[in-house]
Amino acid sequence: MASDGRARAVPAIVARAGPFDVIGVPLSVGGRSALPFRKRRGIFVAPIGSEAQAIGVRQHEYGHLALESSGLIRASILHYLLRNGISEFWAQAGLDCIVNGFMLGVNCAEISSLKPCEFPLPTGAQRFLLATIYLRCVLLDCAEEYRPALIYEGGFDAVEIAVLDDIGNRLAARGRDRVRTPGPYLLDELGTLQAIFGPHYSTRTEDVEESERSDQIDPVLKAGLASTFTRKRAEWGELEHVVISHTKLHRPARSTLRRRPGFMGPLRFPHRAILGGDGQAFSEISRAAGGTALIDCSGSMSLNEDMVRRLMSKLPAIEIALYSGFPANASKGWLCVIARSGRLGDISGLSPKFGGYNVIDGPALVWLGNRRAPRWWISDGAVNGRDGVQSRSLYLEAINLVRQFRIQRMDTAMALLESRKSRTGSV
Amino acid sequence: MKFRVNEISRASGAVQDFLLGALDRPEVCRLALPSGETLTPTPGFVTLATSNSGPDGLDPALRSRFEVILHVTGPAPGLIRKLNGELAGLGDALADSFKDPERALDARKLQSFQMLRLSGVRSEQAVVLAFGDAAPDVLSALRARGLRI
Repeated sequence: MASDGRARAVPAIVARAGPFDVIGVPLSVGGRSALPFRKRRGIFVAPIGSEAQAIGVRQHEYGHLALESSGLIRASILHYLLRNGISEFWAQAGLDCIVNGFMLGVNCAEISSLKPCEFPLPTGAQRFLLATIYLRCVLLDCAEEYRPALIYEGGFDAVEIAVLDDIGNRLAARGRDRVRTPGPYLLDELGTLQAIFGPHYSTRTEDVEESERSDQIDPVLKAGLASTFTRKRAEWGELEHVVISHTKLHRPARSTLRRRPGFMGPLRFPHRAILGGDGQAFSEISRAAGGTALIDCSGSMSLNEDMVRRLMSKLPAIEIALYSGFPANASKGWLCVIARSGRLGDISGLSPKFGGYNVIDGPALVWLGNRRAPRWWISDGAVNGRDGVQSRSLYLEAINLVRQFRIQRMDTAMALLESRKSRTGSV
Repeated sequence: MKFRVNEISRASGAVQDFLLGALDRPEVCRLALPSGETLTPTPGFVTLATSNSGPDGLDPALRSRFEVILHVTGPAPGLIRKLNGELAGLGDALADSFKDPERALDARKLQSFQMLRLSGVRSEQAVVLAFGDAAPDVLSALRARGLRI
């Protein structure tokens, strides 16, 4: 039984097609591969050596070819993910995770020795890059070594690690069990990770500072996303606008329109023009503080008129709306503007409508996004849709809406009031 | 009657000279044996020659005596069936490896590997014994292909 004395890649066995251009590269370069297509030869680039890591890289590339040639992953899935807004970093990491699971499932143990990144972690790397590296090594030996480094050096919290572990294991399980992975499934899983870790490509501005700001996700929503493992199909309920008359005039603590001395406008402060004055004899009109508050009235949450009046005193131009699902109909929800332009309506009639599921968080956030900024969402951060179903897709949509419309979530109306206090120093 | 010449390109000059006569046209082909006996081809006499290195290395006179040259680009169908019968997919893997001719599996080595397995040697050891340094790739590729080894 002879040995030819050298390692030799045999991609055609896995790909069931050929021929291939096999190119040996140093271990640090990693590997890549592509199936032959029409008259184009296949590509198999990998380190050709007998070290465990080199074998691991080749096994990984065999895994890619095997999954594609067997149809468990479509060859065009990468383009599909990129077209749908998934960063290439996440797309590649997700596919790698499936491949690693697949190869471990067929007893190719050398793949465990793969190291997607050498220690120490790259300093100054963006969080999402560190997260994609970790996703790649969820099933590998280096994960144990990597996890504490992510926490202590990368600043990741336990929830974030748990999300990466959870999704990584699910993706790997699909490879291990040889389950076909359709594009929308991968889009959902990787979209979740991209929503949490970024990168986020803002359509409004290319300002780096804005991009960094938008990377911050509300921790309660993030925790909700992480703890919601159901893949049940969920959708928002139907939003119904409830209209009430704003018959009660609230006398705001400050006038809705503030007139301040200035150098332009009507002459209102002639005494400032005389000798010794500052010359600001004209009045400039500035808009009063305002914004829009959307209050979640589902569950045990309630709101009284006194709190509404306190908000209006602090923010004279505020618009306040309540929303909730109908207690008797879990497929519909209502939204009612209770205060606007210094007037408020009688909310006692709305009390029977309180206490259902949320049902319409998404449509309500869209409504809020189209109202005057700043925008506050007063909610416990629990999101659910029709029939009270919680789903990662709904959380993901809520996170994206909050980010897109620059909505600030507050736990209670009092918290909003407190935040305004701390901003101005007094009520 | 069939006359089969294995690895014709490795034949020595004397053997090739002998073949020049033996493969001549039937009406002029005569072989005189040392015993004095003379052999002539019977109707339907066929000569088959095989080679791994292709016909270009043969002497042009010898090459021209063959009426047909067939390029065999894959393993024998019988071998594929046999290997598939012993281990589902093994013969197909061998056939597919020939789609990349530079890296095609050696059918004899694969048979050795299978023979070792059937005699109780573990797959990891059998593949090393049969394929040497190429063993990790062959084993990984066969497993990635779905073979239960």
